[in-house]
Amino acid sequence: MVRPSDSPPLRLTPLLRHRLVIVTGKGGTGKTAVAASLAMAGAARGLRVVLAEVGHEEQAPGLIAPGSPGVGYGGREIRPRLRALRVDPFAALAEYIGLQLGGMRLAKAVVDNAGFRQLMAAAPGWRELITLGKLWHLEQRHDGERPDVDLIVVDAPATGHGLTFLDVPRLVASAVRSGPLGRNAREVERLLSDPERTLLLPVALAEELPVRETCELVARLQSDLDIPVDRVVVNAVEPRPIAPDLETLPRRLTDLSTSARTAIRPETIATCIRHRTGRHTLQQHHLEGLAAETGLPLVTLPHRRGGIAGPDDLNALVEPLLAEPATVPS
Amino acid sequence: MSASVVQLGADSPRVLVFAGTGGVGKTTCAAAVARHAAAAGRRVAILTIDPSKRLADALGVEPKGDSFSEAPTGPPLTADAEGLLHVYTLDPQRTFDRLVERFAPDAETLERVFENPLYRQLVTSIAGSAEYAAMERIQELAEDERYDLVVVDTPPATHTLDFLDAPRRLAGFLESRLVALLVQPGLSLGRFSFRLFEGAARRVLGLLERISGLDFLADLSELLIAIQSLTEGLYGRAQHLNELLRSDACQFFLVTGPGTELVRRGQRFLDDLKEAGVPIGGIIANRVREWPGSDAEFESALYAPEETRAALEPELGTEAAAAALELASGYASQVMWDRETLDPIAQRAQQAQWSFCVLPELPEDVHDLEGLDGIGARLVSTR
Repeated sequence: MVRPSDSPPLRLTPLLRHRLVIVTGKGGTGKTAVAASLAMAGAARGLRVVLAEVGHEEQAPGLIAPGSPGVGYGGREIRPRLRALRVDPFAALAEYIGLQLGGMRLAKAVVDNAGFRQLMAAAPGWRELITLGKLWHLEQRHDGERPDVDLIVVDAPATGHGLTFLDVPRLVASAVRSGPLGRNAREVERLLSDPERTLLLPVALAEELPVRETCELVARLQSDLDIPVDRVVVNAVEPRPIAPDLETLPRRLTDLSTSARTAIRPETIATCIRHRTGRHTLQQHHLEGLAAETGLPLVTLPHRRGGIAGPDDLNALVEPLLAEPATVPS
Repeated sequence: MSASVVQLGADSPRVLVFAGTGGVGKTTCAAAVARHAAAAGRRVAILTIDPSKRLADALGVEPKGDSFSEAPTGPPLTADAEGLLHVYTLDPQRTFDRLVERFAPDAETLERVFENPLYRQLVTSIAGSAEYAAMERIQELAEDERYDLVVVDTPPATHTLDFLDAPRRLAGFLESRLVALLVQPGLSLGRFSFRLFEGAARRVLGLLERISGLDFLADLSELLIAIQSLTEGLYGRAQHLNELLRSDACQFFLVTGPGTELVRRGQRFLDDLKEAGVPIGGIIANRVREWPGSDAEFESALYAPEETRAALEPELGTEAAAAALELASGYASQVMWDRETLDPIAQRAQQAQWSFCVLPELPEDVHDLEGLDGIGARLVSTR
């Protein structure tokens, strides 16, 4: 596939050559920031990108373009070539019904019907299917030979629910054998399992519980979900504390305690250093465990003091995010 | 620097719900409180709703489908303390089955529900069903006379709200006119007559039929007809649970941590809990870095480490002294960052008179029972 590029020095790395990248991870891992920074990277490299948030909130637009108004279901271009939108299940349902009936008026009448909304509010499963269906629909749309959108980045629900989220098309395809619904579910399922088009990008932290959940996620992906995954992103990785003879430094400081009269006691400094090296050792331990158990290469993103608050922070993540992953964490 | 957050007394709430965004140590806090309460002689059931079964791990037991695993309590706090600790992981399938068994008017209805292919799919695999089942389970445990305390570890924040909303959604669903139309006796959607329907409902059903194919609709109709006979029981149950969660018998705790993002989410979560009208017991700030020395040393590390560096240089050498002070003042600014970002939520707690408890970041993850007991002792006070 030929991709346009109006900024030649910026390369398309394998990560950006998918049509659909689904970013998922435990809450608090920074998956929204990862999705936003990937979408920015794609747009900066000339791709037409859609950044789709799934759920109640719009967080990514505020990170990419602080102060920007809401983007809603229709979406808005918040940077050149980057359209952000939020997949609202009811709006997606109205669109789907409209396509089935060949008109939006009746579809809106149905979806706005109070009884229907009540029924749907209680009915499980359809939100996931319709959301994935919307993403599939975005992927399918073509302007002649060229797709309308080159890259769709999805900020998906947190891991535990993310799994059920991705499992729904398979369930529906097996439950509903005839009619357009069953056919659509099978098409969505095909898209999700196609490694040429789709990649699931798990985001973890180098901490015990996120690591364990990511291992569970990858195990399920590989056993029964059949959705391509080829790397794990680890966010907020702290750099190794640097000092000559770091191991012995705290000891040497403690030994000075009796002789040195300083504003900050050597013992206090030693405790600070132990704390920081201790956390770092633990972090490395988690990184190694994650790599070993998933069998996947890791992409590590640096910790940003002050968190991720705006486009500068997102840009700082782009380079490490696009780098092809190392097998052994460093 | 901070008071305990859970007060256990004769008149204290029966149900404690731990909520908050993911990755903040909610499960650890819930497990620590449950273990400590059991050590103090309480008979405790702890339930995890998180699809990843970590709570049992934290308490050192194997998760067991629908039944409980008995976990060791912490070391008894008084000589006569005879507490117990039962760990439950949610099994939506079994929970729903029990609910149907309980309210089915006859064996035939029971069989029709259980054999309906959509029923299996609805209760096992599809998002949303776990929330219904969780609410049901909390109620069962709250009514279970073996226990005097139920501790609940919820899924991450946005889903906790779905979860609070589950009974209301269920009640709304059962009351909806569309359901009433679908379950008219003698009506099978495979061959139903549209004459029965008017206006929007007719269009909706026609549409569902067209989109979905008839095999699906017939199953749905069958299931709804069967469920209809359970409605009154289910509805009463949902109402009762709504009341329980909003009564004095229940308390919610927010688990959060330092950092602008976590605090922002925590704040919004508190707004949502308030709006839902559930009683808030307190806030736990987890993994907060603490300064190991005096206030004067802290000031010095933040603003004037140069003096100390110069004093240490002859002893350690230029490079090592510079590196040591760099690491110490870096740590001091991390401590400062944690304090500053937590300040707004601490102030809110004070104004609202919610208890507020700070748990220090430890140099190691908490993964043994001893570590858990340390946290329990810090979080719980027994009167």
